[in-house]
Amino acid sequence: MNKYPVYSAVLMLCSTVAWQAQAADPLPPGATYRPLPTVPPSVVKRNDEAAKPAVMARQQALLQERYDLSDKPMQGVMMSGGRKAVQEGVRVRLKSGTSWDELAKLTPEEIRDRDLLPDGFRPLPHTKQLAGGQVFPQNQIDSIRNFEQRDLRRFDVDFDLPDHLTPEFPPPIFLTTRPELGDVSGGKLLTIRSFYEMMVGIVTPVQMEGLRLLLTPFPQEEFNQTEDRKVADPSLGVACLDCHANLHTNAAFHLTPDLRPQTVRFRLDTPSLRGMFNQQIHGSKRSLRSIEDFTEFEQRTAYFNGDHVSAARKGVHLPDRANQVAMMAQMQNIIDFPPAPKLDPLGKLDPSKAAPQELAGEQVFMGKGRCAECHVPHLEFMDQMMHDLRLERFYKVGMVANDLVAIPDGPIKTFTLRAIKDSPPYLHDGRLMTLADTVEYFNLVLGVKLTSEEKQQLLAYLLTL
Amino acid sequence: MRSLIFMVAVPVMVFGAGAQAASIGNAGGLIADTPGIENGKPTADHANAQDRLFVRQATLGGRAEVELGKLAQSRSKSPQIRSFGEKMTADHTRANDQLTRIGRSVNSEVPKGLDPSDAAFREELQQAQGTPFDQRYLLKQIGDHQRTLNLLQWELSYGQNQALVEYSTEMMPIVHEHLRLAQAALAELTGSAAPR
Repeated sequence: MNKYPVYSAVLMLCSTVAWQAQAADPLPPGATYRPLPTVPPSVVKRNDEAAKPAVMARQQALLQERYDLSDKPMQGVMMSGGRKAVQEGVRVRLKSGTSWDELAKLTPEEIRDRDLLPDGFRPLPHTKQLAGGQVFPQNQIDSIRNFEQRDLRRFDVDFDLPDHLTPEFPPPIFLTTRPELGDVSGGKLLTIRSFYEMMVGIVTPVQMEGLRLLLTPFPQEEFNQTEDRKVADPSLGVACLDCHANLHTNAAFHLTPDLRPQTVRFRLDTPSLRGMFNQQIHGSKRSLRSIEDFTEFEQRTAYFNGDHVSAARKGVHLPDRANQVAMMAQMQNIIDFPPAPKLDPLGKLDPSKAAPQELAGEQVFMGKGRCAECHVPHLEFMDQMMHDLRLERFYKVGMVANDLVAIPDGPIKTFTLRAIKDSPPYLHDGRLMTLADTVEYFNLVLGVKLTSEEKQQLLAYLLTL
Repeated sequence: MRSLIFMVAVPVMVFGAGAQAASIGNAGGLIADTPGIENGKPTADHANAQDRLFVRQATLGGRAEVELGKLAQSRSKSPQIRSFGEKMTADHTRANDQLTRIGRSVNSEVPKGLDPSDAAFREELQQAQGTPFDQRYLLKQIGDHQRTLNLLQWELSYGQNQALVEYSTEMMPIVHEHLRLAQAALAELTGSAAPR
């Protein structure tokens, strides 16, 4: 203002005059609101089923182009339940004629102008972007069908990632209230039928009631009783823990509720609920300030669709804040991380337990790699902030991939790195398949120019968390 | 700046081998009179109401770009803004020709001439000169390109006609670039904060 006082005054005057001029027509309502269906459900199903092979083939082609999806388990490194191996290696494919080291030497502008950013670093589209909605992995679909006789299978789209690139299923459950028990899942999945027997004697009455609500299905945008659904028969809906299996994640994905029109909504990879007790902001973009707010709110917007209008037609669950929301929150707030025996009480490696390579990796994490500037060890590897990595410095905004228009991500919540080996794929949209991919991603985005040795050390460190 | 000004509209490069220009399904679902839906084989050249509305709104928007671009070329004292106006006229003339061709095939009805709101703005703009002219022109350009981006995204979300989806896909990065240029020009003129 002080630098350009005259111009600013003119601008203000111009704005006033322009406001008085005849206004242009607004954009069509569909740019924000979901239209009502106009075709009978049987015809919708017929068309969606006919299109499904092409939908899945298109997504597989995109994934194969971007990633090496093969099954390469890391020798001797398992997820915390000991049921699934952690996958190794960088899976994002480079553009031809480049190497990771060469890429890291270029400026963001050079990478953008020469179109050298690996496609796997760009926003990952939903398998069927324009339909969107929750898509569950097959293990979840099968389990819920077996245990609850409830159908989570969509007729228009299937899950798109291979099983070995997703978390172990069912994942172990650790409770802050009963650390001496260790994993209390017994290798079983919490469902509306199993939870009581699994948890009686372990949780309080309040926590039990919270858990019951977290397992109770309610109508959702694609899973409901109306003609606007993507399951064959009218559906009872979905439960919170259909994605947050055993209060962790099964890698089910969705679209962000926070953007419109549909084509710019980015994919959401289900985050774990582990460590919720220390998390102060919720929702990758909304920064809701309590788990109570988050829990209450998602019930009334068709679960993560940011659309209370559409949700109202399909049936909304309005949980009572004092009696229901509080109990759901109290259950979520006792979900602990798996033990990390090499970490001391404040999140630093114990030199008497850690290997030299892991200790070297911690130095990279705290120093040259700049990881700890957001993932602060004594704050449970978070910082309670949102940050904008500004990846769009490296690519041309507005390109379209499988109906997703790539726009800048903007600020996104810092996720915890505790037990990070348990929750592939990585980043808010699951665009990175392995921890090695995340090392290359942040090496480039932060411009820290790590050596191959430092990358290996950092990777070894991440596995200790 | 100058080299950017004369950059021709590049053919779109859709990333990912699996990517294709045509969208699959749309956020609103198919409309009931789409040929082929009873057999699960909707035709790709069918247009829905959104497609037709898109042609109307995008054509009107494009016409305003062309006309206001001409005005900027003749009235602005800034070489940068005259070049920007020239680029708008050239790029949007080309885009409008393309859109008119597609529009004919989907029977979209587009009124003649400028939209009344754009005509009114042009009249107002003709009264301005110097820095106020440049600022008003650029502010309008920024608003119009933001709006066009959202319109293209809406068409990609709800459109059914393959040619129009391809057109929108092609235009998306170009319009982003136009917006960025307008924001940069305004920033240079006024010190406003331009997006990165």
